[in-house]
Amino acid sequence: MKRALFLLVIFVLFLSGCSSTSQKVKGLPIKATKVGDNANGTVPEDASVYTTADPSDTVICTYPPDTTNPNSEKITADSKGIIEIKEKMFIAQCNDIYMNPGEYKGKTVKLEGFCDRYTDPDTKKTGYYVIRNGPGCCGNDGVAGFEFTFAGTYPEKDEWLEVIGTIELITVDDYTTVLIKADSVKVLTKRGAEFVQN
Amino acid sequence: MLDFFQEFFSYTFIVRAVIVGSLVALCAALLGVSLVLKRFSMIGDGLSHVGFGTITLGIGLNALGLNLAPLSVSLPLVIIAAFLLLRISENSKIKGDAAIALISGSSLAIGVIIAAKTTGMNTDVCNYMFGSILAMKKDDVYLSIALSVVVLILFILFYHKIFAVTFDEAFARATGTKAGIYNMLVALLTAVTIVIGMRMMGALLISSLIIFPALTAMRVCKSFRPVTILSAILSVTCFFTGMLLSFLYSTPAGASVVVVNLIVFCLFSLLGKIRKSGATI
Repeated sequence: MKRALFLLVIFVLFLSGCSSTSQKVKGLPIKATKVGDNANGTVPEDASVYTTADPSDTVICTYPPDTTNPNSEKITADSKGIIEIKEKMFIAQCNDIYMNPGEYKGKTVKLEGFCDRYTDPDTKKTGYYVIRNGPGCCGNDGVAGFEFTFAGTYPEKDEWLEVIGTIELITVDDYTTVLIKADSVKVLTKRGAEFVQN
Repeated sequence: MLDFFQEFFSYTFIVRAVIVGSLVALCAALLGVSLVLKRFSMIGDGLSHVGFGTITLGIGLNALGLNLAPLSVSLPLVIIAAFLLLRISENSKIKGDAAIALISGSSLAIGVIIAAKTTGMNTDVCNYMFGSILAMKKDDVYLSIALSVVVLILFILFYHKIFAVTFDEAFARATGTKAGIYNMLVALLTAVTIVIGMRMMGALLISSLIIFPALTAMRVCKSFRPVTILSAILSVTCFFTGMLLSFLYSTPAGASVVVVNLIVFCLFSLLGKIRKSGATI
């Protein structure tokens, strides 16, 4: 019996070894600190901004989907195959993407949030984010969402966005993190909840 | 109603949470009966505190560049702590409850210092403290399922021996049962359940998953097997109900599960009293 228990302990320890992380993923969104607004974004030369005459008056401007992207034909609000990160479970779904990036790589996601940007003081590169505020470790000081890149004109800080794009993995300082390569960025007048609970 | 369930199960992470959570709830409930009857309930609580300390060690080692999953660091250490707690409770001059308080408090303090000196009290640490079943890595999910299945198989295999040791340890010893080994087996299974359940319920709440179903079942059932079966059913049902309420009202999942357990405990206590008064009339 003692031998059986000893073997059992070894088996359990062996199982526990199976879960060593194969990939480092940096930065759950909720533990990110708020990004600053001390810089201007770069605008590609071929960027264009469309002002729409949408009767619903929700879309202020949009950039046409990248036609070279194989996913671009799928990018409509109601199309299937798009993972919609809704207001309910916003943080949980963002966390799941950061926790299991391999599962989502190459998939198209759609989410809403406000625009924020941050310029790295060393590299002078500006990152753009579509985020919402949420609970953090020291009160409601967390944010959840993603960095996104876009071929068109970047929106202004605090504008309410609907971003549709593909999940991509990038490596920064030996860490793999997630960003959205946006195919469509719409600025909406109707804002959703800036603070989400879960 | 159908739309609600469709939406609930449309999230992959919720499906994973329900599978892992149900298995952990089942393991915790089965072991809980033995622990409560043997007056070892606080071992679960003590081990969860040890688990928190060892998890922060794992997170800290990860932050220092060692590519180790926190659970793989925590599991062997919590198993060692379980054996140690058992040994101290049985033999030492320090009484069981004092030993548990000693070890759990020390582990928590060490954990907080490690967290402060490595990653800081970030969301990862908070998730292990209060639970975050919706944010689980796929590797952790597979590990949790495998360990839960091992716990369930061992409990079923050694059910009669565990029952003998729980019911009357002195008698079991007299009949040749190696009670020490089966006590160690219960401690080992409890340690494994605590570690895998900690991610889900949090270090501060996981012990309630062990204690509540057993206590609730004992309000209406009086023999070991019905208590064990009812405890398992209640635990899984309360877990699922807690998850649904958490989704519906946007409340923390772990806390919602505990509150549902509390409500069911109150209802069963009432039911037990009504039955008792009915029997005496």
